[in-house]
Amino acid sequence: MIAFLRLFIIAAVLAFLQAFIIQQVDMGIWLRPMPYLLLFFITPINLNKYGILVGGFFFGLFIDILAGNFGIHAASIVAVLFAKNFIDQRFIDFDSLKLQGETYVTVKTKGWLFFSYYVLSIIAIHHLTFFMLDYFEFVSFFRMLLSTIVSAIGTFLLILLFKSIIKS
Amino acid sequence: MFIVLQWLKRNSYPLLALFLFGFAVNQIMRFQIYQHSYYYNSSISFARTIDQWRNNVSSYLNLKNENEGLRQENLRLRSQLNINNIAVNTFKDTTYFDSISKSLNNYKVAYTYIRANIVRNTVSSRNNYFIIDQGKNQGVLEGMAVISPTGIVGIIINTSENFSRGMSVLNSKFEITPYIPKIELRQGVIGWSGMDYTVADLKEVNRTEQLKNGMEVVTSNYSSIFPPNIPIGTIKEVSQKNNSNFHQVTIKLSTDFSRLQTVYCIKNNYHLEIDSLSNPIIDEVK
Repeated sequence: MIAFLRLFIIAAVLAFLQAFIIQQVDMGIWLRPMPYLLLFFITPINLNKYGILVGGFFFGLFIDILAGNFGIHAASIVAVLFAKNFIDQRFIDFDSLKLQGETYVTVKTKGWLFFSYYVLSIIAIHHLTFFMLDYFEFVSFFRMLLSTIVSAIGTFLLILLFKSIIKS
Repeated sequence: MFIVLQWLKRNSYPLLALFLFGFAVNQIMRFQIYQHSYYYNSSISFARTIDQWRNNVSSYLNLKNENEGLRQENLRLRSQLNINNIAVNTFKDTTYFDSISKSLNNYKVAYTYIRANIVRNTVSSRNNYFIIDQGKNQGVLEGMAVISPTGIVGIIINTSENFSRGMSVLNSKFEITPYIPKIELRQGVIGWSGMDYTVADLKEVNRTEQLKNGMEVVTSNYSSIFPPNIPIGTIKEVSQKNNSNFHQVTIKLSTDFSRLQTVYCIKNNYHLEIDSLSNPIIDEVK
């Protein structure tokens, strides 16, 4: 129960942080980090996948309402959670994670290389969906790709930073 | 049913994800101004393309009817030319009125034709009207006759700069005196009963006249609006009431009012002159 409450508070903080601080700071046209994805990297993998999907959808809608995006965050979160469920089922062994005292992927359990691939690939899927819906035209494909790459790196660094803050 | 439920159960997670994704995308289309306008413009453009394809197909499929109309019109024009040839020989020294012999010295041009397209037309009201894409600027005037390649259509009642409104044959106020060439009869009045847009009624024809089914009915040369010999239709049914001195005649109209496209407005260039001569006669009769 406390774990759920903790997740809920982190979700609210990340949503407000995204809508009122990160989106308000001018970082240029290419860099648009979305560190709220951290929530899905600290959510236990063994939770009900339907619950995570629906919860993630409402979390996305909440950010959309705060940020005035109307559905873009919600759609990209649904897409990334669907992809993450697929990746978790194929590449993560929950029992071995549990033996190491964790419920989600960390650097300690899987090593830097795997962790980076895992987090970056999920961030990339999210950002690609997000920018596709945001740009909404094929003529801007390369701009969209560049935004995805630059923003994914920014998001990855912010996630590492926030994760270390939460841990401490 | 069981198989369907099993399939739904097996794929419930992707289906739920798809549903939520679709809902979110729907929100984007509805509330994001840029995405909404992009989606809206793309859909409009797509719909227009589909409409154009459909119009092309329907025009192609309608070619048969159009060809049939043109064939009938050609036939009528050709038969008029034959009549004119005779007229040149017979009435050489008289003034003969004709619409298509402008080049011949002994002829006067009685009728002027203006081609138009129907832009709106009704057939289901008691009083039906049509609108054409030619108006005052193109020479269309009130009182001009309107015909289609297959028969009479109506009379122009209002004109604007570039459009005109006409009273259709399918109107309770429309009446015309017909001519039945086979028995050389100029009698009765044709009007529309309001029941069926393919037929009209011919009233006040004496029961002694030998009317038969299939007889052709055309415009009479007594009309100062319509040129003579324009098809009105063919006799479909002839009946008599015991206590009446007149036939009850149903006429199958030669114009298909549900498929009107191209029409001709006809101006009688001697309309006013004929009317000025008719008025003293009426005064004398009075």
